[in-house]
Amino acid sequence: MIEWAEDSRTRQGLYRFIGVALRPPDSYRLGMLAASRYYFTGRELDRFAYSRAWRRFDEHLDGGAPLQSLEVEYVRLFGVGLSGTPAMPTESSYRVPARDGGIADFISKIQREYRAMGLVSAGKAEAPDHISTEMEVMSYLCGVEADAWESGQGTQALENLGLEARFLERHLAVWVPVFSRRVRAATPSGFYESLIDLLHAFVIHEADYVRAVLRRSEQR
Amino acid sequence: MTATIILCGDAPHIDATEIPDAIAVEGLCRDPGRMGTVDVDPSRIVLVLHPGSYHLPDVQTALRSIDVDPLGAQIMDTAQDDAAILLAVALRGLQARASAFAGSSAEHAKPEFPREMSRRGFFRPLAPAYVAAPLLDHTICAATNGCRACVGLCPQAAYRWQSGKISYDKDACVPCGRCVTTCPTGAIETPVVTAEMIEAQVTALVTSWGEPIGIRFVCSRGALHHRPNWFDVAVPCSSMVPGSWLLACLLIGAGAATAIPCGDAGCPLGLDQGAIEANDFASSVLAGCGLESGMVVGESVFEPIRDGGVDAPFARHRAADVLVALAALTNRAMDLTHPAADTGVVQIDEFACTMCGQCAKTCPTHALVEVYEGDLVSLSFDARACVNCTQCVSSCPELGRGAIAVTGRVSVELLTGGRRDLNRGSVAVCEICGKAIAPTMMMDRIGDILGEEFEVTLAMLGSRCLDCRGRW
Repeated sequence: MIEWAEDSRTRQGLYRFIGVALRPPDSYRLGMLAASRYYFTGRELDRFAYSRAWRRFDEHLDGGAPLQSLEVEYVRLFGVGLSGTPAMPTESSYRVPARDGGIADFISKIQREYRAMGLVSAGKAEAPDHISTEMEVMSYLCGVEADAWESGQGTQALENLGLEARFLERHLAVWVPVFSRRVRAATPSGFYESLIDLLHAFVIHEADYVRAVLRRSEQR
Repeated sequence: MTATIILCGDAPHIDATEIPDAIAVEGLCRDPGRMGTVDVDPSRIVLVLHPGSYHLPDVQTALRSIDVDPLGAQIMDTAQDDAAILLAVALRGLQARASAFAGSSAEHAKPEFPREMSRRGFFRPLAPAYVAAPLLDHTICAATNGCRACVGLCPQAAYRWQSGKISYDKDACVPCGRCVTTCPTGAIETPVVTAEMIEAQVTALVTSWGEPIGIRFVCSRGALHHRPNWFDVAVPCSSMVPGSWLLACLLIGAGAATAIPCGDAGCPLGLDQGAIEANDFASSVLAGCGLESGMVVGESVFEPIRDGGVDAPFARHRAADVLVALAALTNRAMDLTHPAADTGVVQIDEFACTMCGQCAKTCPTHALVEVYEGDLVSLSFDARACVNCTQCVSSCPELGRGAIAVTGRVSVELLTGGRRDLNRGSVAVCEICGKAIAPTMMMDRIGDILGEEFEVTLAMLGSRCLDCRGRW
């Protein structure tokens, strides 16, 4: 089971890493990203289909993008401006019409899901349906799964994988492809383009990978 | 960009003089990571490996580590008894195919864990093997108009139509590729079998062997068996090969071409019939053109009937061009029917048809078009655009009365004759604003169904448009 635990820890780390990169940039976060990329060295990410997207983003981090230009680009892409937002980083923007309180209902629903997992919003966090929040939730689920594998509780780990699969199917795998398309249309190259490529490749891979692991466990 | 050929240097089965640009790497099967030592730009790669000596997930991992998309890399298994000259030519084909690879997206990669672990797998982190899954482009999918061609043919029921949208279940998909060649609009594609890749491979094989050759489309699940004058082209399932692909091979210069069903063991998906039907259709076309039908069903290789007149003959919707080119070569006015024909002809029973236009709305290739001109409406048909998908038939509300039928048919006269009207009728127009309301035949049919007691309602429906009804 230890090999599955290692995989879960890698996935936990990647969810958190990408989630942090998608929060408004500041020097602390950039430093954290630069330092934590070494966590993935030796974790053989080349085993997975998203590894080429990972390498491209890693090269951007290596280049050390200047903070000020990232701040400007972040606001341009994800902030609410006079001419609208090229790509809102929140799920409700893609799933429900803004009128008739649809967004509020959607956010209440997703918060109920979080509470069912034992999670409550920590005040300073982004909106519950913000991409970085949803990535953090997946990171948490992967952590619980890894704990279960490490303590030899395979059944509990698989149950947790089921939760991950459902969360991906209901949320991230549904809206991330559309969100990614919009970001790519607004930023043809650079830090956020490679980050969004990584997000897209990783989330799509995760939805398939988690199901493949579950399928394999059913076959055994 | 020409693909780099890297071969396992352990007990090489290929004479390096046959492939002077190939690079041999010792122990490549045992340790695929060694391909990282090759000092070339390896964005397109053909690997020559020994079957049973390598673990696919390890090879794919090694490819990613040198920034190669594993779905685009061609892997060739060589056996001791393969003749070096045959392998050399087959490699040229694979090199051309790999060079034509246009890249894949995140959605294409489908991870699968091997059922059996390799011995090495016990000591390493688990790695899935990736296969290429098809990807549906909803922006060009005709499901909103009612098309569900993929739903009907998928052996795994991976596609579902719901409220004008197709949903795709990647888990259920095998993937056999039949949806890719059957989708009427080309909305479904796979990065591993594109028209460009197949054309590149077949062309390279035809030009690399000194004599006329035969092309065998075979299932990639099985082993390839190149033999003198016959070369294999692997596809996810030979049932995905349309008859026009076989004929396209002949136009490119092959002396024979055939789709090979899975043999004695049978197709694990039960799709053997597809390959048999494609061969039979292509054979009928050849016979219809006065050519040797054995070119697609026999063991012999014939003198090529090369004709360079068709551009991109494996591309979608080029079936009609291929068929017309063949007929032109032999100067035959071919007209034949076959259930597996790549082109179709629509027949309308003008008494049963109400001109409701549902068939034209559903037709994913716009072979059927409904045209309103003043107080007349016509249903026109272009045989060249029809791909025999029969979506018009399933959408017809008057199907029970035999209003529409589609026959798999290749008629050179119809294919070259342009658009023609299948049915015409008058249109009821609004007595106030003069706007078209509906075809008169449709109003009559509604009257038949409603009966005499709704005469007033029908009179209102037939004399005023939706906007003017409030003024009744």
